Order: sequence, then C-alpha cells, then structure tokens
Amino acid sequence: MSRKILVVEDQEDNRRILRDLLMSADYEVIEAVTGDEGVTAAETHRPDLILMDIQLPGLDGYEATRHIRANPDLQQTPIIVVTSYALSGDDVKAFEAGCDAYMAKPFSPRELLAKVREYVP
Amino acid sequence: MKGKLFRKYAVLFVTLVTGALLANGLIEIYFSYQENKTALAHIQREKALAAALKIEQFTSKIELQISWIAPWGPPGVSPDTNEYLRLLRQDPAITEIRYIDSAGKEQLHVSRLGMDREKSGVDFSHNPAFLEARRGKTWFSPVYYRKGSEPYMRIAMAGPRKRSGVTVADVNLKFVWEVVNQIKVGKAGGAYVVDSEGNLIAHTNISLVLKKTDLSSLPQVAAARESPLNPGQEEVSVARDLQGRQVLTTYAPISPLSWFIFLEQPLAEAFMPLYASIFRTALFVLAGIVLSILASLILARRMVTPIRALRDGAARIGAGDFGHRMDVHTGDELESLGEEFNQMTTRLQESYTHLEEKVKARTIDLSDAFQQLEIANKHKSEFLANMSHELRTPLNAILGYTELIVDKIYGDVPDKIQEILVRVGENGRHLLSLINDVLDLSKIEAGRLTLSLNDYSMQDLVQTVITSVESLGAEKNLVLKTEVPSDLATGRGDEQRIAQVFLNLVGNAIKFTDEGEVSIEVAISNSSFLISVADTGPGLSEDDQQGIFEEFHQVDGSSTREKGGTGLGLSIARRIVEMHGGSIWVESTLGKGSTFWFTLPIRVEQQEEQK
Repeated sequence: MSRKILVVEDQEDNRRILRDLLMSADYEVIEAVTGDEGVTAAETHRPDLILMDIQLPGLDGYEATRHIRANPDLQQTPIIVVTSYALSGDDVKAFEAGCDAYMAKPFSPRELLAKVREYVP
Repeated sequence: MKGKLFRKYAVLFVTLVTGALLANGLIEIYFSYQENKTALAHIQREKALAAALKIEQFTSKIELQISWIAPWGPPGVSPDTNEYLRLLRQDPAITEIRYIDSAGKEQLHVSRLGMDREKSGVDFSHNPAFLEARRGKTWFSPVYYRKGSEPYMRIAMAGPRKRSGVTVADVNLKFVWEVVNQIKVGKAGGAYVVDSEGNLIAHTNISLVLKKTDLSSLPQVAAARESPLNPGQEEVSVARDLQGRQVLTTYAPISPLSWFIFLEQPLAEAFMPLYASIFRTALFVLAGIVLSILASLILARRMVTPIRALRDGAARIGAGDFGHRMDVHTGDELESLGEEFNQMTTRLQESYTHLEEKVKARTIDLSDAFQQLEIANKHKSEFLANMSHELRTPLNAILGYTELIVDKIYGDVPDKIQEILVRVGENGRHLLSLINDVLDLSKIEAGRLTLSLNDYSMQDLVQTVITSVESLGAEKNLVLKTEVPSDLATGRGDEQRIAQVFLNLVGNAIKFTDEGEVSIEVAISNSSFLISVADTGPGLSEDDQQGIFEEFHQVDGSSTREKGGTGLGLSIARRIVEMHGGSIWVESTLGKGSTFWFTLPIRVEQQEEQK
C-alpha cells in the first residue's frame, strides 16, 4: 500500500513538480492550495506526511501547522515546512509551530525526496 | 581694561601739552636767568665804578693840595711853614707832610703826631719817595700800617721846576676803609680793595687786611691785574671768594693807584630772586602738566568712550544680538556712525527675521520631502521583498522541472539533451544565488537587514557548516579539518548570518582549492572569537587582497569565472561581521593558499551602525 503525502502549496508549478516527483517514487499525493484546505485535507485523508509551504493565501503555513497539531489524531504526522526564502528566525518559528523538518527553497527535488524518505520510507 | 586707543590718545595729548609747557618754562627760566644776571652785574658794576671814583677823588684831591703847597723856589729856599700847617688842618687824612729839597735833605716836617721840625737835614736821597717823585710823576707808596691797625700811604710829588724839592705826605687811608664799609651788596655782599700787587688793602673784615692777605691767587684778581678793565666795559663773573663760596663778582680799577675795587655777592643770595622765579615757573609748569594730564585723560576718555561703545556694540551685533542699539551722543561723526550702525542693524534684524521664516518654511518642506522619501524607501524595501519572492518562484519551478527531467521522471532523455539540461540547472542555480546576494546586499544597504540576536554554540555552528559542505569537499577529495576548543563560551549573535559568513568562506575555499585541505579554526582573543578559514588553493595577489571585500570584486581570471559566484559573497560577509562589531581580513601568498580571518565579539548585545 502506497503512502499518502499531503502537499499544501499555492503555486501550481511547485505542486506539479512535487506531484510528479513523489508519484514517480510511488507515493500517493493529495494536494491542497490554501492553508484552510490543507487543514481540512489532513483531517479528511490522514496523510502519512505533510509538505507545508509557508507563504499561503489565507492561513499561512505556521497557522495551518498549528491547527493540524491541535488535532490529537494528527499529532504524530510528520510535517516538513518549505519556505520560499530563508529569513532569520523562520526555522525557529517553524519548529515552534510544531513541524518536524525544515527546508529552504530553492530545494533540489532530489534532496527533498531524500528528506521525505527519512520519514516515510 | 583700557584700550589701546585710549593709551594712544592720552600719551599723545600729554606729550604735546607737557612738551609745550616744559619748553616754555625752560626758555623762560633761561632768559630770566640771563636778564637777572645782566641786571645784577650792571648794578654791581655801577656801584664799583662809583666807589672807585670816590677813592680816586680822594687821592686826586690830596694830590692837588700837595701840588699847591709845593715851593716854587730854587733849592735852599725854605717852604712856607704856614702853608703846610694849613694843609694839615684842612685835610684830616693827611697826618704829616715833609719837604725835601732837591738834594734829598729834609727841610720841613709838620706832623699831627709830633713836633714840627725845620731843616733837620734827614737824608731822603735814597728814599723811593724822593727818587720816584724826582722823575716827575706823583708817587704812591704801598700801603703800610702804623700802630698795627692804621693803614697809611705816602704820596710824594716834586715841584714844577727842575731843581724843585719834593713834598711827601703820609695819608691815612681810613677813608678808603669807610668807602669800602659803606658799600653793601645785598645782605651778605660787600667790597674790598687790592693794590697793584694783589694785596688786600681794604675789606669790611679789617683783620683780613691787617694780616696782609695776598689775594693775587684769586682768579678774578689775577684776571683784573692782567687786563685792566676799560671803563664802560661790563664784566661780571662767577667765582669763588676767600672762603671758597661761589660769588657773583665785578670790579673797577682805581686808575692812578693801580688799585682795584672788587664787589662781590654770594651767588646764592644774588640769584635768590632768580631762584624764586625759577621755582615759581617750575611750580606753574608742574601744575600745568598735572592739569594737562588730567585734561588729556578726560579728553581721551571722551574720545574713546563712544568708540568703545561702537566697538562693543558691533561685537554684540556680530554675536547675534540684533536687538542692541548704539547709544552714542557725541554730536559728531561718531554719533552719525552709531546711527548708521543702528540702521544697518535694523535692516539686518529684518532680513534675519525674514531668513528665519524662510528657513522654517524650507525646513517644513524638507521634512515633508524627507517623509516622502521615507515612504518611498519603504515602498522600495517592500518591492525588494516582493521581488525576491516573485523572482524566485518561477526560477524554482524551472530548476525543479529541469531536475525532474534530468532524473528521468518524465521518461528517457537523449544524452545530448541531458547534458544541456544539467547546464540549464547549473546556470539557474547561479542566477538564483545572484538574486539572493543582490537582495541581501540591498537590504543591508537600505538598513533593512537587522540582526536577530540569540545565544548560540560556536561548536554546533561549525558542525552545521561542515555538514552542509561535506559533500562538496568530498566531491573534490579535499580534507576538511576543524579545530574548535570544546570549552568555548556561549556566543550571542545572529547565528544564521554568522553561518552565512562561514558558508561563504568555506564554500569559496572548497571552490578554489583543487587538492589539499580546508581547515577551520576557532580561538578566543580579547573577548572575541577569532576564526580562520585556511585553504591550500592558488592564493591571492597583493592587488586582489586589497579589494576583495568590495562589491562585485572578483579575482580576474578564467578559473574564477568557471567557479561562478556573484562577487557579492565576501562583501556581504564583511557587512555581517561588521554589524556584529567584528572585522574581517585575508592573508595570502600566491601559490601557497589563503587564510581568511574574522573576529566576532563573543557577546553581541547591540547591532553596529553601518556607515
């Protein structure tokens, strides 16, 4: 049974890249465009891992992460935060919000896949 | 403080006035002295001549009387005794008279002191009286004294015929003494008479006469004897008397006797009125000088006070006290100068007020402009932040797709295209790093980059850096060495920015080193971390070391271009280090590698201002 990965990302190209990458690695990909959608999708689909963009319309990535972590059923789900640009203090904010890993753009799809595999082999 | 001008004026006035007064006083004194002396001399001289005349008359009268009674007859003829006796009675000065015949024998002798004698035959033929008189001139003997205190003179005179006898009279000179005694010159002055030899024969002090004082050594006596004075010629001199006192002295000759009468007056007395007059003049001059000094001071003060008021006023106005007005009421050019000043100040005040209003208005304009500028700057920063996102998002997509194609996610790719796509990826990443660096630098320059100060562990930081460059080093078979003491103090600073500096330096070291090693060392020096990143790369020339931390500086040469880089990394590193209050520098030798050093204060509590 393939693992489910939720991708919360507003940029279509980025979603496409992640989808193509993850599907090529035999993951099931669920996509959400906004923070609110992401939180709903997480509760609905119970993914094995969540890739969370920070800059999102509506709820931003930190808020969405906090909402997801607020659900007791989703407290163990690994969340990898992806930031568009690394500002000092972003990582601290991400970990404070409750994420497990942090990746700054530009990321190499190859590196991202490696990171994903650490949590969902 | 008295000003220079005051001193100048005062000195000038005092010099002028006292100079004039002194010159006037001195000239007056000089002329008064000369006139006084002449007048005194004149009076003395008159007195001397009068006295001399008296004595001359006295002797010439006796001479005349003797000539009358001299017998006219031949030798042997006896003179008329009665005539002789009558003469004796007539003239009390004559004490005795003798008649000596031409053979020199005394024929008659009548005297007040003794018995009259006739034909005593006493021989006078060798007596000077007889001998001198026989030569046809009246003979005057030197003065001699009887009874020790009576001055006498013998007068001898021959008869008119060739064989006439000689009449000899002994004359008491008390009369001369009386004449001398009667002469008073002032209080202390007096007269005296000397004979042709310079012997004193009459003086108010008789004892001097009786001592037969010789005055020929006195200069005034010697001068008189040498050049007998012509009547009418006035000569007065200042000399010393017997006691050595300074005297004003003059004389007159008593002609037939070759005597001289001298008049003298102590100089102190003679010139007493003169001295008094000099003293008075000096007193007046002194009083004049004192008055003139006072007047000069007052005048100088009156001249200088308004000038000083003008100067002080000008200084106050110059210092910005535009409310000040000159208060000068001298009624002359100075007052009009003060008025000009006041008018000028008024205009100055007006234009200054005008200027201040202008400045205020301009300042408001300027602050408006500044606010607008601040807003514009904010917009610029926001634009930069947005652009950062907007530029990178599509680039990330390009890079992502490229990598997916290269990784054959979308199926097989011909080798040639694969190779090109690898290059596309490399260039895309380079572009991304350029964008990042430019934006970082823009933020720093706009002052938008602020340090996020937190505690950090230097050991952990170095470890993180090593972890992220390990793969790069491994690709080139380079040895990465670290030497970090385990007991380092906890640092405080912007950990991420410091990591950026490390990554830049270590990244460069790996990039430019083809074989050998890259080593990171951390030490403590002066409460700062001292960090070095050393490589065994090609090294840097002196010129390149100079500008390496400037923006867009790249070491020239193909090898560096191949390595990529923006030329901004070291500049950003320098800014970050300086924002922490540290410094960064490089030591390198061409062909022997480079060592980059930087210091970081261990505890950074405040961000350093950027220039």
